[in-house]
Amino acid sequence: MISTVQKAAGRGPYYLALIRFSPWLFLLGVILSLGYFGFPLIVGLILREFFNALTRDTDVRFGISTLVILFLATRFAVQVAEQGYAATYAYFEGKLKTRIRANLFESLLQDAQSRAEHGSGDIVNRLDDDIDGAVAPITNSLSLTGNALAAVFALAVLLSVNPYITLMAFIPMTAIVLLANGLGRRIRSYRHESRESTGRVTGFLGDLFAAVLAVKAADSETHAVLRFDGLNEARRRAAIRERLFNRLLASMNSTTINLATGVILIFAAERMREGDFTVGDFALFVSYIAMGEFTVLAFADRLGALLAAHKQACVSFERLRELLPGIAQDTLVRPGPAYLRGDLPPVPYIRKMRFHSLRHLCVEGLSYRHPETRRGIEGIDLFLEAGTVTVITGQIGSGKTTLLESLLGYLPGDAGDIYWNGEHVPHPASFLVPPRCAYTPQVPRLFSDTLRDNILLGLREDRVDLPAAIGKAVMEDDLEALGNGLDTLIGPSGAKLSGGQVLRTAAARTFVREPELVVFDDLSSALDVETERVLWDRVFDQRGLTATAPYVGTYLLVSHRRAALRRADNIIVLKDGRICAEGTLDALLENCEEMQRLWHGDLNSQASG
Amino acid sequence: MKEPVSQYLKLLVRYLKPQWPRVLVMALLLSGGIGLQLINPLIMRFFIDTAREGGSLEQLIRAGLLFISVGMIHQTVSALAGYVCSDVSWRATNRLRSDLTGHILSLDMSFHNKRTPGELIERVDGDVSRLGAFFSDFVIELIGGLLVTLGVLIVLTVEDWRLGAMLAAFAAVYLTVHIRAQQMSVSFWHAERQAGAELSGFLEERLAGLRDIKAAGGIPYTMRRFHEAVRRAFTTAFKADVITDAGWSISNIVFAAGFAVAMAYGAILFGANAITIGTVYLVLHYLQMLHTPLNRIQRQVEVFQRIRVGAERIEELRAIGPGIQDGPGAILPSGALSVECRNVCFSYEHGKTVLDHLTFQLDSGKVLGLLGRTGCGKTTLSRLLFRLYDAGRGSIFIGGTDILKPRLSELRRRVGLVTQDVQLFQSSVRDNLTLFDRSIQDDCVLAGLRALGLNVWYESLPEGLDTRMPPGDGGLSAGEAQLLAFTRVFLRDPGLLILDEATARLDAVTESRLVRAMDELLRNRTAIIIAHRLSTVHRADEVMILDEGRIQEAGAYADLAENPNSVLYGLLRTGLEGKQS
Repeated sequence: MISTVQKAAGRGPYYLALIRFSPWLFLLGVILSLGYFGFPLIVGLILREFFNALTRDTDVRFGISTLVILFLATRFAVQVAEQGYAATYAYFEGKLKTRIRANLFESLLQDAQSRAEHGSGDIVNRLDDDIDGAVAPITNSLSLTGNALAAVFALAVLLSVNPYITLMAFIPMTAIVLLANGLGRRIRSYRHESRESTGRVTGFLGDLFAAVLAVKAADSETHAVLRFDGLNEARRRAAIRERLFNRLLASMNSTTINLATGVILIFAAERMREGDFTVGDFALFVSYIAMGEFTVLAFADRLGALLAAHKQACVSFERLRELLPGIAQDTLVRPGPAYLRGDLPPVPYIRKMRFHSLRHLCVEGLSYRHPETRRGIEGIDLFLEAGTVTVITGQIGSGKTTLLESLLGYLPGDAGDIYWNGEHVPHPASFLVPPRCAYTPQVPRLFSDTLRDNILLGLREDRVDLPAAIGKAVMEDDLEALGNGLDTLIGPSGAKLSGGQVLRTAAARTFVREPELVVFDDLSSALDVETERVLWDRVFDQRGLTATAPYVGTYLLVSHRRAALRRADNIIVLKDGRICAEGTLDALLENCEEMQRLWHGDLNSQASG
Repeated sequence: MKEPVSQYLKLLVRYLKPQWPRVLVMALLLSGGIGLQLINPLIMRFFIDTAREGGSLEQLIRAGLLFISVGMIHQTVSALAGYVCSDVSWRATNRLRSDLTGHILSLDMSFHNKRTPGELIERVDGDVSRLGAFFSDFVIELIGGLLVTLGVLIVLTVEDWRLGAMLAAFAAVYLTVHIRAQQMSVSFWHAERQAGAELSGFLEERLAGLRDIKAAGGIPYTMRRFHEAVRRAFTTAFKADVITDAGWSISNIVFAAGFAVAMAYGAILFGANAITIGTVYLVLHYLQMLHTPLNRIQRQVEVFQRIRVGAERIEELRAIGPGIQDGPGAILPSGALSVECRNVCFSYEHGKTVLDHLTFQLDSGKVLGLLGRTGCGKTTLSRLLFRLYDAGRGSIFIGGTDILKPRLSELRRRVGLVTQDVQLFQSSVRDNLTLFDRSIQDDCVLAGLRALGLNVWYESLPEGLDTRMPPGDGGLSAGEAQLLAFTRVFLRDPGLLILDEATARLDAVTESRLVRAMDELLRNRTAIIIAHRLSTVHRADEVMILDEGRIQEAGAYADLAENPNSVLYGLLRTGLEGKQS
């Protein structure tokens, strides 16, 4: 596979790989396109025979009724070919798009790095439009063969009837096609302009309605509407200009047909008078000219469109790769099932084994600076013994979350090493996952599903201790309040839950995995003091008491709440991205000024502000 | 069905009336274009018959040239008709957009608090654009299509009434079948949109929670759900496609059957010498010509069903009126304005009392620090002062004038507000400072920027005041954004200034840098500073602490700060919010 991709040189070498996703469907599409383009040409021939039979200018080969029936039969065949072609096309396209989408989506999940520059809306857009663009050259080329053969056939028929008139009719057509191509380029710039002006109008409205308080308070309503009128006026001008050119371009086809038909009239006049060119021939010519749009000229168009699609595909492909700067092209077009029919992919269960267990975790010299703010962490050393509780604390902006994210591989650490049981971990992002490690972010995300699905995320309920996890997360009262308990649908991103419920659900999601290393970012933003205290009491008092196995767990928490700090075997105080003190609570309260300030609530007043 | 249609027509007439000459030109061009379209097949018939009867070559060539010219004129005329039509449509809908936006801005905050900007954009632009697009398509495709059909019918009836009758019957049958055939797929497309939206929602949600999925080891499960969602989206789309295609096939076959009938009938009439061979050709050509217009009529009928909803929603929006009534027009005194509240009560729609018989007085030129927990009524009080809401009971006097007396514009010009959210427009820096008020001169703007210390930032702008504000935070630091908001109010020179948590987003260091700007801003003005950080109200002359809509404590800052029994004293020692958590 890989060798094929590399062999096909030039831009877009992935095309071959795409065809290989489903070569038989591709072939079927090509075959059906023959009928789709070919059958309509027969209709022209039948019309010719029909008129010739009426005027008896030539030998009558078929009776009128036979011709009428033939006409109907051909029309029927056209429809059958069209349907078959359309369905094959759609299925083939669906397979290609799904596979690329799946490859990209899975890579995004694996990577899980912060992607602040692409909002999720933007990514969804790219997963849609740019994948469309990336496969367009292949799907477009399905019709090429049928179209080409049909064009050759139509030309051959016309030339055999009368080469002179055929040539005369095609000269103006070619001229106009060239002209239309020039216009097409013009149109793209008009379209761009009109899009831009539309963007300005909607952008302004968005700003305006978001700032309605400021606008009303400043009595600027009238001024704002005047500005809006100005933008609207610019948009009108751009839009009607685009529309005019679009219409001109669209009327090119009719103009072409009109001109070519007129030319036939003029050049056929003498021959028709003398009977060399029959009414049937005339009908055939006009019908093929009208269809010329569909066959001969369309073929030229299609070739041009294919080149354009190829250029567009290169852009689209790059836009897809922008989402994952490190991704190999092969990864994007990696073959595999599209799962459009049959069994869906299985969800494997990873049993926790002896080699998963944690004895100690060691971090040396971990550093990361956010490129924009230049803030971050510097030279962090940590040592976590199995079964201990470590709490990281510090003021807002001291680097607590950055520390966790760098450790877990969500941020590309600038420097530092992580050792799991003494063994170096080169890729923490793929290593520190369940059953080794699970993490609850400060602002967890839930999904539009049942509560149960959100907690389990694919774990089988009979393999885990769900009630215990719910208990640890202090969720039992929520379950009652939610009506449907675990089967409650929680709405988009958990919109039906309170902030505290979202956080507790995420906590249960972490607990139910019974990971060796449990990592929690600050819970205090959504949990009140009392609930958080109960949560830690339950977690730590019930350690080792679970039904499934003698599970203890090692805890790494970010917190400034007393309930957590009191439980800590070791507290790490961060200040400006560095560890400023480390030790037990009593020792730190004794001799660390920062810890004393944090303990005495200075921090609390800021955090809740 | 009847009611909304008439609503739509009313809406249409109101916005078309002012530009009736353009509408008239459009109608002329449209019917002219259609007339021209009918001529060319007649020329072909003349040509065929003349050629077969051995007419002169000159006659035939002249017919060919005429054919080309008529075709060219027809193309030009219909392009012009389309142009004028979309111009009419854009002018009308822009008027409507403008009216709607003005209307929405005039509505109360209670309206805005319930709606997202996205929703309002959809009303002002989405619904209106669909209306506009429909109007231009409606005219060109539905009216144009009907006119072509009618024209062909007339020409053929004149030719031979049996041909006219045949065509009329055919058009009726075809339209009926076609509309039915297209309806077959409607519910499938509905399911397709649903599944497509679900897939987008799935992807968006999961992409926002990539870390959560990975951290919980949920990748294989998420991939399975992905394939499930993709399969549903694909299958529904595929079904909808196939059914739609089948509908088209049925229509096309019916059309072909009509064509076959015309072939046979033409042959019979020709055999009976009732019509010439040219007329047989004419009939078949006309029939072929009707294919596209007939399909378009169907499409517009369908779109019309959908467009009603938009028209309905626009009318609904227009029916909502502002709750705040404009005052008769008293003039507020110039300079700093005093504030007095007498027994002011207020509750939002849900009924919970927010302000409970509030009475206080603030002399002109003084600075009041307003403190209290979240939900104590501080912000509500500030909104009442410039009538974003009206008090339920009691009265408010500003500069000695009841605030119900001056015009809203007068009141809001004299009362300035700065909040912690600085809303930026993706427009020029000038617009962002003047909020689109063109009467404010550039000199004033520059003086304001200097006075408040934004001149360094200003000098970094490549095109001065014409520089476009970059999207997002506008390339401004939080402190600079706040200064920009200060400049906005400063330019309006209000007599009363309300700073509602204006510096809450700033850290203490940045806030201290704004001290000079604050001094400048507060000079010669009355001010109410709402804050929950105590350092912010150090500069206050007086302090008022609210609790559940009542005054818990009020007095001079200096007195309260030194009185060990005061609430302020306690707050200053323990920190304002420390007690809450």
